[in-house]
Amino acid sequence: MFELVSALLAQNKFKIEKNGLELLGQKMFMVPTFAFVELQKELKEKKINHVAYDVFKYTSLRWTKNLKDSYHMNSDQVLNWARDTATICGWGTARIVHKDFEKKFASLKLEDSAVASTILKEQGISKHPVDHMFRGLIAGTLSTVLGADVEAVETHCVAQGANECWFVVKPMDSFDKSVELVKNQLKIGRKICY
Amino acid sequence: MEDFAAKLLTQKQFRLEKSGAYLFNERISLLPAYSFIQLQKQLIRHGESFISYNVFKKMSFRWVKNFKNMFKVEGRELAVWARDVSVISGWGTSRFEEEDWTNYNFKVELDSSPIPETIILEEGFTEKPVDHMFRGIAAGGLSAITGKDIEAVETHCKAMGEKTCKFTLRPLEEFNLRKPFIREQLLSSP
Repeated sequence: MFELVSALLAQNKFKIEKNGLELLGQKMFMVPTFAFVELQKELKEKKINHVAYDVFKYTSLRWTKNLKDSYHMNSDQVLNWARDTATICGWGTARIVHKDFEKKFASLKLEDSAVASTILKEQGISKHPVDHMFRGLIAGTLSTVLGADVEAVETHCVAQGANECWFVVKPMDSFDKSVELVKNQLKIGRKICY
Repeated sequence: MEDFAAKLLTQKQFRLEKSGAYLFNERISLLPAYSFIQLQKQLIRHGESFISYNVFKKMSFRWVKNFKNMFKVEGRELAVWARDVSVISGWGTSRFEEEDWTNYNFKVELDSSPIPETIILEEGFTEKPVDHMFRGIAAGGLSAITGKDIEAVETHCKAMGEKTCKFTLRPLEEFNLRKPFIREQLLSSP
């Protein structure tokens, strides 16, 4: 991570200025991870927990579209930059394990997930996967890269005791909606309860 | 702020590790300003706009309390530190306009706040104040510093065409809750 941050600082793409932080021309906010954990908790209490996923999907769609349009990057470059910026921004280290651009499919694993490790540390083992924000980030990124609206489901989560968090990304129609994990994480029939 | 950032780096209070970034031993995450605007929009759409105030109040309370316990700093000195962290975190540059530490009554001015600036840029001027997250940060921070539960109301907002954003901070019972704009900002607060 040091090399990446140093390179961005040297290229003036990561700036710490009088009026705040800037990364690749975007104003950034720095927030303790437990605030996002708290936000997820409050959203769940109000039964609007899909908001976290939706907001982060919007964020990464916009972020990657900016990379594509402003820096004229191809799909692989967008993917690499999105992965690196997610690491710099403290969300964890992601790696694509399998991708099929034609079938609009990808599977990823995430190490050192910010939200899952914070939940595990503060609340103990969780019954369900908890990385809804990161799910949103990869759904948005891969929607840009694959050129199709795709969704993300977390299949294994560190907060549940797994070694890494694992995600499957594909179009909504390709998910088996009878699977509880899918039903719980995606907005199927507006019945959302992750 | 560059001095403050350099100090944090040399004192290893801001650390970049393989497992993530840490500020004062708390893991931190970065997000673009427009994410928070999108979050606020969605919360307003669901009639739950006070969630952002609550979350940021809790966050700031915990962070400032941690720092207070770690470094044994109190009162105004702690307030200056909290302000510097809020600036380096990108929330804008704030200062006390009025401070009454005996009666827990404060007025804070916020300059170069990214939320209203981004809202003006993307959607134009608003009819109501929009800095609910900073309201929470200021309320939680001052609650941790004073040991008294402090609430915050935004009285002037850049997004409404004002030059800067201004906030009044005091205990809930000291606010005139008959005023609609105060009621609107505080009624659903914890």
